[in-house]
Amino acid sequence: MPVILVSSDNQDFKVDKEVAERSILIKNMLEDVGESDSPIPLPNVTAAVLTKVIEYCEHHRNDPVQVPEETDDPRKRSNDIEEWDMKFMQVDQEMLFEIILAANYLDIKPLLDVGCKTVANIIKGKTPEEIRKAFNIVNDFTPEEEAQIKKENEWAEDR
Amino acid sequence: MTTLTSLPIEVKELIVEQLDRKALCSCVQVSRLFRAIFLPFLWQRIRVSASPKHPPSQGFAALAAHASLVTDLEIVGPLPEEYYTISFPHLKTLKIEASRSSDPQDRTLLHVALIRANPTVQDLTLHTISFKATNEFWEVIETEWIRPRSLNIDFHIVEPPQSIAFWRACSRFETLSIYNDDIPFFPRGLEEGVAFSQQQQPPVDVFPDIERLALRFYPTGYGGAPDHVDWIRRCPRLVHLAWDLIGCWSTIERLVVELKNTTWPGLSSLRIEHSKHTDKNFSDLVTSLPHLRILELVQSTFGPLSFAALKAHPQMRNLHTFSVLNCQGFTGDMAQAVLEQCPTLDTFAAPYISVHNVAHEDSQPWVCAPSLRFFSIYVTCGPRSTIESCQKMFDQLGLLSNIIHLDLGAHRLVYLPIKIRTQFITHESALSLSLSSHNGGLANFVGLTRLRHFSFQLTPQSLGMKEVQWMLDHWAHLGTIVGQFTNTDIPFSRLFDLFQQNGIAYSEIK
Repeated sequence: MPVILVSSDNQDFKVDKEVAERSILIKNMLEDVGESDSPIPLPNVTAAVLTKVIEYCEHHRNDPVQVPEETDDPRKRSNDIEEWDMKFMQVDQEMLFEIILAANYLDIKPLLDVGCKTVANIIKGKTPEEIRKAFNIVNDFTPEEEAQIKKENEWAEDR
Repeated sequence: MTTLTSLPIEVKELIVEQLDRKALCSCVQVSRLFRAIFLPFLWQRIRVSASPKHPPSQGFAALAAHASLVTDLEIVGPLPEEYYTISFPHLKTLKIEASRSSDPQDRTLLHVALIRANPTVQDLTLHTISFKATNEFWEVIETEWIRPRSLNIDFHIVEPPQSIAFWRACSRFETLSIYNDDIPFFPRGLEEGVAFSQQQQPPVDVFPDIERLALRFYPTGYGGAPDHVDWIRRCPRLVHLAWDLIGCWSTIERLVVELKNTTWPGLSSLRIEHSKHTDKNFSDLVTSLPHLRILELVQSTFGPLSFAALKAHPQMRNLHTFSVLNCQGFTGDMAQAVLEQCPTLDTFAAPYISVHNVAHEDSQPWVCAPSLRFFSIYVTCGPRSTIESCQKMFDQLGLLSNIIHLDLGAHRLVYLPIKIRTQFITHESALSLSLSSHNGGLANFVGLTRLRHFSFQLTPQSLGMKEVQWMLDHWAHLGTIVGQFTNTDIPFSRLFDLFQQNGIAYSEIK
């Protein structure tokens, strides 16, 4: 049975229940409401972002459900983003952060993970100047402050 | 406009988890806003050691300036004196480690100053014999610390004159782990020492807060524990007990007596190591643990009587962990029965299971297959096994969809029954489930997508580059691999590099 999701800008999206339930938030809502065909409002997600999120959930509709882990290994392999996910995440930065926010709100853990890894990969291996370029940020430190931070970092880096 | 700054803190944490310290250091140099986001993550965990590359003296000003961000501090001394006086107002975890260089100065008072300046610490680890904690050190913990939680002492010495203060301080903790230490025991065991022979009363009657206890003492020097149970029974709120009986004079029979007196009404998790008990002794223990949820037995005996007690136990179907690693008496039939009957099992470890146990016509599927995350067993085939029976075992293993840790290694051969051990020596290649891909092997494990640790050490496999590539292609989360790839000319060092490039730690034998 399909489910109707309504974006913040009042656009309707008809999706399979199995796809919608990739979102734990929606899954719990459906369980609470029971059998009902009333649309589900998602006031925090725009149509543009919801389109992308549904695309992700469609592609991953058959993935095994993750069980929450008590002892998560912090040293995950960082390059373990699937090829499809990597391409899916090739969007402008505003959209990337919007997807992350939506994944967090809708409680879609694998999408949230992929989004965060994508951001981390943008940062990794770059100098401060390269990070500024990547995120379009202006350096607002005075030269004295910069020298001070550099000195502190020399010590902090090896800790 | 949505940017990195507008993400909620818990999402920022997920991003930071993926970054190393070098990347964090770059981030704090980007801009004021970036600095505000990333600085707390850079300083929350700090390890200060007397490394020659960055002498600690250079860092004192920086560390003192950011002291309020530090929650987790590790000190590998000896450090310059001023470090011991910093107060970290949000410190939760403190670890004091052994120094590699010898320390001509007496740092006793400095350590007292450190403990006094940081009463917010909840988790304390002492991993050093290079300083001796004084009475004052322990008294500060007992009387000035706000809410201590766990004390973990490892290779540290407490001498008889300090033992009263030490045990009093212990009474403030919820978790206590004492490992390989030389500690005067109480209430007995100090007859030859000075402290308790003058004390009529033991310093602490009851440890009211201790819920988790891990004990491993050697009876050397001043220490020597005549009876651990005399002390364990003073912890009425005990939930988890890990007790290594190596060199200990106590027996688990004492535990059974206390359990029958409901000394620990909440005890649900038990780990016993190096116990020289009989099968009957252990079956009594199983029977007298009404809330059994976690049972681990290492280097001991688990025979038919213990198994009967387990099967009759009302909590058997709610077992979370069952481990009889390196135990004699535990058979493949027993392993199959536990796997068939415990639907919520998370961790299972046993010496061996045969493909016949799974392929037998009366056998049921493993009811715990979806919940198992840690699994350690050696799979034997036997000379009469068929392709079909091996396939049944593969089918069953292939259903472990949430498995994280899969160890099919044969490093516990010495604990196998003699009959199987002999077969192993005479028909080696016939006695292990073959993982090589020409007969399907690894391809059966395509559903184990969450696997992080895989071991097949010391099993007679014939694996090569084809299988290496298969693992890299199919197990995206793989972090460690242990076993020998014999079907390739590529030397170990090149395999090691190949795995390392893919973020995987590799060794032939663990």
